[in-house]
Amino acid sequence: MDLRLVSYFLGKISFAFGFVLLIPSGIAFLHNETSISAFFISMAACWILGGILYRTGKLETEQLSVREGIAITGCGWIIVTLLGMLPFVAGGYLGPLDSVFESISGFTGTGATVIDHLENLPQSILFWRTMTHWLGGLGIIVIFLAILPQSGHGTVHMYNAEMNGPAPERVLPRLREMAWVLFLIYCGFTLMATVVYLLLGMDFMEAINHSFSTIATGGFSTYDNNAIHFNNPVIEGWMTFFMIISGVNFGLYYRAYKDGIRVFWKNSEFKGYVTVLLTATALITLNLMSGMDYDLGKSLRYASFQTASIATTGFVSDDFDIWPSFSKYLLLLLMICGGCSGSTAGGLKISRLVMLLKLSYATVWQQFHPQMVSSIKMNGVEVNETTTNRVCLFFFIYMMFIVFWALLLTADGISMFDAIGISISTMGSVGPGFGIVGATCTYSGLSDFSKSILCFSMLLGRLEMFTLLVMLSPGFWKNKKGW
Amino acid sequence: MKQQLLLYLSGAILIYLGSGLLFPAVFAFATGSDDWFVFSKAAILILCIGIACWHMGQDHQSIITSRWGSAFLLLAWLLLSLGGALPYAMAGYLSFPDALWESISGFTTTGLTELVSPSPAFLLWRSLTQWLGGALMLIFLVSILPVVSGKFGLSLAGRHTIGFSQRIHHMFQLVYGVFTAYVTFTLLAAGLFYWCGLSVFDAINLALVTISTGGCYDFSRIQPELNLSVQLIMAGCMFLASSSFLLYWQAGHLRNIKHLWGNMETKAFLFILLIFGSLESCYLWTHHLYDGMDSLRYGFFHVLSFISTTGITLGDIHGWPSFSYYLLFILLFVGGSIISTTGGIKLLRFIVLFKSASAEMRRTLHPRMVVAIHVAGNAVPMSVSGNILTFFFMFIVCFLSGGILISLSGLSVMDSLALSIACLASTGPAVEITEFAGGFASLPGWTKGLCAFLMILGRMEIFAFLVVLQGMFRVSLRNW
Repeated sequence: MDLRLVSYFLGKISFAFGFVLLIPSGIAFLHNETSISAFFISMAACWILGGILYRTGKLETEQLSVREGIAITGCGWIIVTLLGMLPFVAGGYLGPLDSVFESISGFTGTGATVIDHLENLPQSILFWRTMTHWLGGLGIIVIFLAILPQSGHGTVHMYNAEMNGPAPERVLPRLREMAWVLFLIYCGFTLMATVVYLLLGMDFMEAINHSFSTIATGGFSTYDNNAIHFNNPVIEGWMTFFMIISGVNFGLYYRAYKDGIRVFWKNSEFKGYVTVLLTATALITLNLMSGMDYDLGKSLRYASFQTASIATTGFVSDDFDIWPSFSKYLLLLLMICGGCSGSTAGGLKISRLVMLLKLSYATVWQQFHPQMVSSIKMNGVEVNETTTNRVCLFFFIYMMFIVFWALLLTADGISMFDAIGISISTMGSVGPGFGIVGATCTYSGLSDFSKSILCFSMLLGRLEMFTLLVMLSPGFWKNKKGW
Repeated sequence: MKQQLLLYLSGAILIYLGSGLLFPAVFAFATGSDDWFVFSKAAILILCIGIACWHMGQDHQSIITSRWGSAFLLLAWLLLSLGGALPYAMAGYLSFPDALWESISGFTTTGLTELVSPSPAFLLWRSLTQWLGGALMLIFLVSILPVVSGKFGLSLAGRHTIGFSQRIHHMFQLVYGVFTAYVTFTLLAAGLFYWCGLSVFDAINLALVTISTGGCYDFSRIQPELNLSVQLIMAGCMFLASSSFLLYWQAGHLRNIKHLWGNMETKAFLFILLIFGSLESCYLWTHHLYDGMDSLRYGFFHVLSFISTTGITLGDIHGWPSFSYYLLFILLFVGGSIISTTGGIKLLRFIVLFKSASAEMRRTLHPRMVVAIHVAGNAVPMSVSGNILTFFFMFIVCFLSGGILISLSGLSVMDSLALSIACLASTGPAVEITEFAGGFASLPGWTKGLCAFLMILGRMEIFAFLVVLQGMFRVSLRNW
């Protein structure tokens, strides 16, 4: 573990982060807001920290090992979320714990907010909130690699440590190109969404904020009542569309660009994703019609929006706390499920779910043919046993963490169902929960203890647990070459 | 012919059931109640059919395969339930569907009941169904289930004790050993209860429902006698029932008590009991629900009750804070030892799961490393740990699917979840932790049917049912 190497990269990341803060500062300047001082303080802190880390670090070799890659990604995320909270706390808008919570919620794409009255905040701060979504959505490491390409063999470990999904896959041979392509697609979608929102009547800041939040599948809005504010089926429809496309594997888009549309139909995960969304929407629509007395149009509108949203983003267009329990149950399952791997969505990921189901089927099938070497196929390619093993264990550990966080939350006095909902929601980077943090509420009512727990939960969920957990093992930081 | 074997075994099951029915018949006759007629009718009917089937299946082969084993398991539970429902229906206590439900709930040692103030003979029969079901489950665990779903962890349990062997003689030894331990514990428990002041009738019934981990009894009958010593004995029974019965037989066989201590599952069980019990007690105490000693008592008793999937609750737990409920709710998933009458995912599987998880963590740093995990000195093959992981996934899927279907009946999400796991883990009275407790009669018929299905699914360890399903699917395809 070459700590100096880690320090070098962390320094670079912090320094670059300071420059990123120029954008919201610019907005503050344009709108003549007092928050500009908060941003200057934050920028200074970033540059100072960046400078210190950069100096103490040394790029002796450009070879990163797995360990260093994980350390850079893990610590990078922690540092960035801590730096990201500075504008909130430096300007006095939120207390320190609340700032950390809001920052982590932003970067991890959760979208759980502790702010009760958004209209009191200046535009630049609101912009910073959604910008944290945008930066963390694709991944700070990916954006870092795209804009400041690093040379060296080991940068792939950084990328793998951050990228979500069961098996690291790359559509392009060079990491640099891969990161750049992903970043381009990401920017392209954001631009598209902004333009569409502008055409639908939102003003400039509204459009930018919501497009950031949509494409990064975060869930922050500039309004307290989230998407209920618009109450406009057309806007909701377009939001649904953008949320769905953000939940698809971005690498798949590049492949489709190269090899044509049929790439989508061959992809098991994409097919699973579409199936899940369609089934859930249909079931919820039916349930709303019978349980809530909505007519078909209204049911379909709310069902489709909420299904797409809860699997990925966390926008709320109707108070689903009053929906019948079957629909609420389905929403809970969707939270666990999440979007596709390689997208900005969180959760268990559809590819894992598909693999687990195929594995179960194969296990039963094997009973009839004990001599057969059973294997499962994804996208027409066989999946090896180590990958399936890892996927199963991921599921197990994910469930264990959900149970654990809910335990801590109930110890804090939150009711059982609410606690389970919050736990699943934060681990899956969704945002809204039920009851105390329901569709129309915020997380501000939770105690400090709960908020701290949830900070961990959100980070763990976004970084898919292994990255952060491995950093906790004692042998990880030892300064030994080789094993 | 495989069908002959099925007939033979079905006959055996029916004879088992019929003999069981004789007990309440004799009891009713001895106490002068009119119920003896109902029970005798049912007993004679079932014994006749049973003997006929047994006779017809005499020329069977002694080998059972996984497919036929699964089919038999399903058949066994259905036969038991149907037969066991006869008394309830014939006496007019319940309509036939409800009687069937009650019977299933009894034999799967779940313990949910719709009977309101049954007569003593029927009370005995209800307790007896739980006891008979528990015994049968133990017998299946050492005979048929290793063949059907052994790769999901049972093979590991067998390996580090004496071992499951294909030899029939050895299997019968295990069956005999396990059954003896079960009966011995029941008699012991009944004796202890009587000694603590319960009437003979109550002592026997309480022993029947605690050793079987069913938990369904009319506690209002013994309310005044439910003192500390009785509670301690109940706790002891539930503890005994959650540990490995194979271990008991082995300890007896080898005349070595120390053997009981070294077992991995026992250690895990004690560990969980200690941690959860302390947490529960502390929380109850700090929230001023009970004073010191009572908190300890209530905490540990309920933890034991729920991890053994018995589900007996002491006193009124309706006002408990959500943390306490939640802790108990989690325990339902855990269950006891793999060779016991408890439900849930079982300790051995959790041990393997956690070890695999930590091994996988290490693999994050060293992706090409081959890690093997060990249980009780034996290496666990990758295929077995993979299967156990798949089992965990299937269990969670069944739990969530059951819950979502139940929620269609209008129950809140939490209540649906609680009911789903209560049935799947054959716990039953555990639904006390929701606001819904006791409202079974109000559920629509299809929901009760679904619950019954979940109960049987849990007893069949899910996998066996899927095999049957797939078998039927293939058969129907072939006949197209």
